Amino acid sequence: MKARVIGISAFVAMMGFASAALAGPPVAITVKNQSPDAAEYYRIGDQAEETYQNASPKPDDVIESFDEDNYGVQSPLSPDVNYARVYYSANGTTCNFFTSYVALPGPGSSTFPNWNVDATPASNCTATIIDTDSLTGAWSVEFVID
Amino acid sequence: MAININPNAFSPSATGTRPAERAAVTSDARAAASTSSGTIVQDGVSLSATSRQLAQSAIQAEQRDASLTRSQLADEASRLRDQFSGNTYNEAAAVREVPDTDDPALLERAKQATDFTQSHGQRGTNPFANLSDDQLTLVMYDDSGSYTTNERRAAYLEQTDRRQDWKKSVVAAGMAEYKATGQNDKFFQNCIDYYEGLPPIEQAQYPVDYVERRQHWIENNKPYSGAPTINAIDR
Repeated sequence: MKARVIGISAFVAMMGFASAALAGPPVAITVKNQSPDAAEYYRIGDQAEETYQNASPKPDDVIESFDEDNYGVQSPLSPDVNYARVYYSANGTTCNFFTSYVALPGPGSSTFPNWNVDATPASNCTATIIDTDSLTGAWSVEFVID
Repeated sequence: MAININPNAFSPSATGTRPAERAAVTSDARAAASTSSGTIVQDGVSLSATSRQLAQSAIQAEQRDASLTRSQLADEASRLRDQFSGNTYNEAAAVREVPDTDDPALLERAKQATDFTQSHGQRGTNPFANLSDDQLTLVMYDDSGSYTTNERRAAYLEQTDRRQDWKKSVVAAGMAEYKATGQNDKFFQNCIDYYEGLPPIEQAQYPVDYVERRQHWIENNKPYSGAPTINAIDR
């Protein structure tokens, strides 16, 4: 997984906004703040910045306690790749959420979808894939801050 | 003092106002705000204390928006939001705040806002639940003292609820659109339309090229039918 993330990161650097033409499948993101404090949205690094630019509608800067935010992310990287990386700080912890889709090569010219999700630290942050569509690659995730 | 609450006196709709309509609203507001007595009548419409405050807020917002660059307006929005949202909101101080007025309606409104915000919406009703989206923005970003911190927070919570309802539905519709067509043209257009209906201080908080990017995607993101590129990405 790490090698693939580095690959995506390098690809982000190569692909500019002006050259974007073919988007990967969208991911619908729900962020639930179940902590007693407000969760503040952060952007750290290229992937988080790119996610912010690719998010529609724009993520809220703050998610109040026991509230949630909803947005979609679609990357113009490639039709076979999409990812989102977001950071939220609440209750003394910064959650690092990541999710990705890659169309892996199958027999002949076929591909098969591969979705991933990750959250750190695991003690306060949970990431779950809620729904996947194998036909288009579109998927939904839920990120929870405790 | 006679009070006839008519908070929608300056709003043509409860779901937001286009820029041209917003200019007309501000013109009406300027006339209404010039009167400081109790209930006044303009064009047969009885104006409440809340309506007069909103009128004054509209004038101040117009002056603020005209005097700042987009970047400065974004900074100002951030400063003002810190007063009533997130972990910079000073709950203890806000509870002690009493509006500088002897108007019983305004005193009651402030109390109602504090009850509502302190109970996280579980007790009482939001005194600004009937305002339009634009009017909620006026209340939120007015730190002149017309509204208490908890009143501004109540307006913010109402706006957040409405925006989340819209975001949830527009994202769900966008996913359905993509699964059916392989494109997100309507979804991106909905996001552009929403952005273009926002007041300047809300727009300033978006990426500068928010519309340009989505317009570009509408024009260029067509269903893909070529060979997979995964090998190039994984190297």
